[in-house]
Amino acid sequence: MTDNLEIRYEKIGGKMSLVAGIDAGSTTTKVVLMDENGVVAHLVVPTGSNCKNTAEEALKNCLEKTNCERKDIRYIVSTGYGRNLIDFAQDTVSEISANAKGAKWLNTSGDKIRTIVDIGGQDSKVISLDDDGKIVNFAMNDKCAAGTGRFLEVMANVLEVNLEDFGKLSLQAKKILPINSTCTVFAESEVISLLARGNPVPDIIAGIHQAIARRVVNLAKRVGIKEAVFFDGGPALNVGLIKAMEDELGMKMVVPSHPQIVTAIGAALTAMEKIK
Amino acid sequence: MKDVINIQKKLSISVEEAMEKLKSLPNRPSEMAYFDYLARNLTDKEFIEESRKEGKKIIGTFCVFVPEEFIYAAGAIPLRLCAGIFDTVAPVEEFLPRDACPVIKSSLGLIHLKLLPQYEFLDLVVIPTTCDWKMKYGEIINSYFPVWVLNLPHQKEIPSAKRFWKDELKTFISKLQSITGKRINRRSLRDSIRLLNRAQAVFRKLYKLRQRKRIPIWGSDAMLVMSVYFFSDINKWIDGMERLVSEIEKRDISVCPDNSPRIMLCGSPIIWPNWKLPFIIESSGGVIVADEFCSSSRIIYDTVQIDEYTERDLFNAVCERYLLPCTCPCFTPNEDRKRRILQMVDDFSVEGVVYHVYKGCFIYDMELYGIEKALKEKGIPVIRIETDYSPEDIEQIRTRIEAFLEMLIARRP
Repeated sequence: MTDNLEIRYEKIGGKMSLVAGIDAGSTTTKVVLMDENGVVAHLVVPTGSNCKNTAEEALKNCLEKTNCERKDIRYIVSTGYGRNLIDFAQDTVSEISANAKGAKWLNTSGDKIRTIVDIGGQDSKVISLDDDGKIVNFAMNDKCAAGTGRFLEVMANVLEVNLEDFGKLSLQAKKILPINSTCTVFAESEVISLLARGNPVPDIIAGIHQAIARRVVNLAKRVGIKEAVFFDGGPALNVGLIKAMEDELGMKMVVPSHPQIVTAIGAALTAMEKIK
Repeated sequence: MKDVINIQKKLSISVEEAMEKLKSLPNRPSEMAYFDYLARNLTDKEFIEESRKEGKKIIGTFCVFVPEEFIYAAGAIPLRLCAGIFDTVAPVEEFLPRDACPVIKSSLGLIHLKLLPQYEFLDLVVIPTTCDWKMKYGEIINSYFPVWVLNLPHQKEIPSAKRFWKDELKTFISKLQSITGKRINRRSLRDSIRLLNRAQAVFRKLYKLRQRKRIPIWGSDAMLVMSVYFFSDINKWIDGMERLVSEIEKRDISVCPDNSPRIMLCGSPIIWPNWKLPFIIESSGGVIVADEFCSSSRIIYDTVQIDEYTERDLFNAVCERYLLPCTCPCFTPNEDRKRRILQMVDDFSVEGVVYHVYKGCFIYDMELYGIEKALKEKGIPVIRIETDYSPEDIEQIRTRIEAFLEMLIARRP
């Protein structure tokens, strides 16, 4: 997990070049405050039913971490599924462009990012970049919960395991129990029958991770996988899923220290470009 | 009966919604009014009533394979039945397979419920065997109307294909003549070819205008004009088009910023009022400069090439016009389609291709493989959008289209 992200949380006072990026996702809303020196503050909160109010509240709480006020923010760009509902944002950008921008900015050392795998709450996407970090192709899975964070949530619920412990538990697996159903609902009943047969939970979780990894890697193959592969989105916090993805890909991935806020950083960078 | 009234209500609401979105596009030519009027009604009721009063037979058609020249020459009226209405899909989902394409579902719904006059008074429905859905669909609608199946060869370039197709059309003509009681002769065939030629000529004028750097008309409007052609009085349609083209030539303005990403739509045909994808593209900063749909640009693009005005020559020329230049993916191999798309990319300065696939539309989906490869070699990005008529995936599609347009802008030199 290497990147140069250092979140300062310093009391910066009314700085002139403060901008905000808001990524209103299907499951969580991410707010990032940036100035020309980098990320000043960030916040990740559940989106809930009213994404505009959630974003408004999150922005307020984020500002409290600094010494700034709302009027100090010179530009706000929103992204994610709720981007058009955030009416206090001056502009919007698609999450794909924002994600690419954020990943490029974060990865200043090491190999150039050529592929981004982003697993979100209710979709997953793979973005292919050229040497300059420009998007050349992308693919999205947004018709089905399999291969998304939602799949993990449903499974964690069935297994009565905290999502936070999911990754670590799976690393204790003695073997991987394959989950064959690609549909979340059918996979759920498959997991229940695996439990009923007395299989150990870590082995089942390893199987769940493998199922997601296979699906997402198949999507990536359609777009074309080139190294270095960058992995972000909430599920990139899960060490077990990272391992399963790397096993499926047959290569190591670049995983940022804060994988949830990459797209919000991209939106903030877009805002920064606007005020220049 | 209550169901029918409910669906009728829903239908007029969704047409109204599509109409409103259309009208929200800036700088629409005022001569769109005629086409808007027909699009809002989804029919030309007076025309159909008049034709029936005159004793003219009405021939329902599907696809672009049914020669309108023969229908007019036999003294009948062709009305194309391919439908783009979401609200008539659900009533037939009770008995049609889930994966059947929405065009089939929607038009069967209209026939089943008899919601529009062109689905009510049909003396014959002609179904070309372009895909398996349509073939089997013919068997179903046979219980509503007499159906005529038009057999298509799969390989259009082999010598036997031409013979086969001509034989097919000969029997089709006999059928037409037996329905109308009017024999097709040299004069009536020549007149109907000339009628279609007039429509083709004015269509090509608009087609040419759209190649300009300045964008003279929204793709949503240009496609609407062709969707209305399905059920129009062809003479009035030609007049409307001539007025539209001359207005566009005169005013010489761009309907959107000149630097809007130039999009070409390819794949499964989009039919009014299912303007879901065109609206998403044109309300997200893109502009549709061209399409290769058999519901739009391909309907009357090709012209009949006449050597001599003998009845035999005229017949042969019409037969060939419907077979040889056609780029429908029901043919294999279908290199013509690839060539044609690449040519259009050049002619219209296309920056990106949106490839539209209906759920269940296998032949268009399969051809994406070769077309994407060819376009990639040319440096033209392609995005595949799989959808149907339901509005539920609008926001997901919008995200993809916005990202696609941003990508097109970012890769400009």
